[in-house]
Amino acid sequence: MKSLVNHFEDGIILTNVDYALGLGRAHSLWYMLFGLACCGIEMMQTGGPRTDLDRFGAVPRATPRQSDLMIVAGTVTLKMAERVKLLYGQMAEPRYVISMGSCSNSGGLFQCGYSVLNGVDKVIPVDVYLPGCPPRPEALASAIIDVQKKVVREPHLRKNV
Amino acid sequence: MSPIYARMSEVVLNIDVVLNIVKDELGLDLVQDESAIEGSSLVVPSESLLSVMEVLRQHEKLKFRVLMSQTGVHRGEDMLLFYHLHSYEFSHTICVLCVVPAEGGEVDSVSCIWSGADWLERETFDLLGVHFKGHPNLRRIMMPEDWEGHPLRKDYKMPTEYAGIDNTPCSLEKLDD
Repeated sequence: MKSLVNHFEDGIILTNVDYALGLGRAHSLWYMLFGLACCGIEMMQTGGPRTDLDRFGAVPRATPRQSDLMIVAGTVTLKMAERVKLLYGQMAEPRYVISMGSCSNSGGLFQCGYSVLNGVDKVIPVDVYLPGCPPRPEALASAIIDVQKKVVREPHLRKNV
Repeated sequence: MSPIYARMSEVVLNIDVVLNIVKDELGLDLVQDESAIEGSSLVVPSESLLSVMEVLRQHEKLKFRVLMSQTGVHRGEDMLLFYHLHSYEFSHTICVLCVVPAEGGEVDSVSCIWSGADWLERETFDLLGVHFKGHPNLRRIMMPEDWEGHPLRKDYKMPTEYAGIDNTPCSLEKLDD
């Protein structure tokens, strides 16, 4: 079989539609502003100029209707858990969740507290668990890159049902 | 210089002065809280709390115009209610202790004297279950409206489920031992 290398002119890329769509989606992950506790401060810092999430195409949205990614940043109380569930339900598919910090992963420092949910995965599915108390901005950027890798791999036109 | 700015540091209040003022105004023999580690502390029976608080706020030598905090502790059969009062004018502080029974404890609300007591008493009601008589809006302030029990009571049982969410901590077995 004839090699395709150097077969075409410059500026032509061979790919499939799913991958091209995936690239588009992966680099426009709009995340919902969901700072629940001190991790929220690190999330703001990640959006700031030093780590600059904008360069990954991730920009904050203040509404779940326009968001692709929910970064659960902070301690989820039982009172908030119902709201988390509701807001997740309001996000359009495909939707992704980063559980940021120990509290959101497992209840963390406040596990066994009377009002604290022991891990946000008890109410919504989580794609990436990010450890740390709180995680540094670099860690959150890395978690977003992990979500991007997952998004690129997913076939968007034919869903695996 | 006005007295407000003259003394920035805390002035130690002689508790005997307060006891005498309350005795002169109301004819009540109050005692000092002996268990207090530092500062002036006063024990007030729950039935005369409102009148004593009114004197502490209005008397020209005391002028406790600020209720800094209102909180409580569940200890055995008793519910210990603490009121921390402050006077900006004299820079002095006093702690008022009022003991009510833990089961069905009731006390007069001081929100008619300090309107800031509204939320503080709601918090105490929410977490300890003390009923404040005459409170304008006594409902839960932090826990959900349909929450059962008062979490800071010593006999409180940890819930493992709320609103259909299973919330069993992974280390609960260790807690039971």
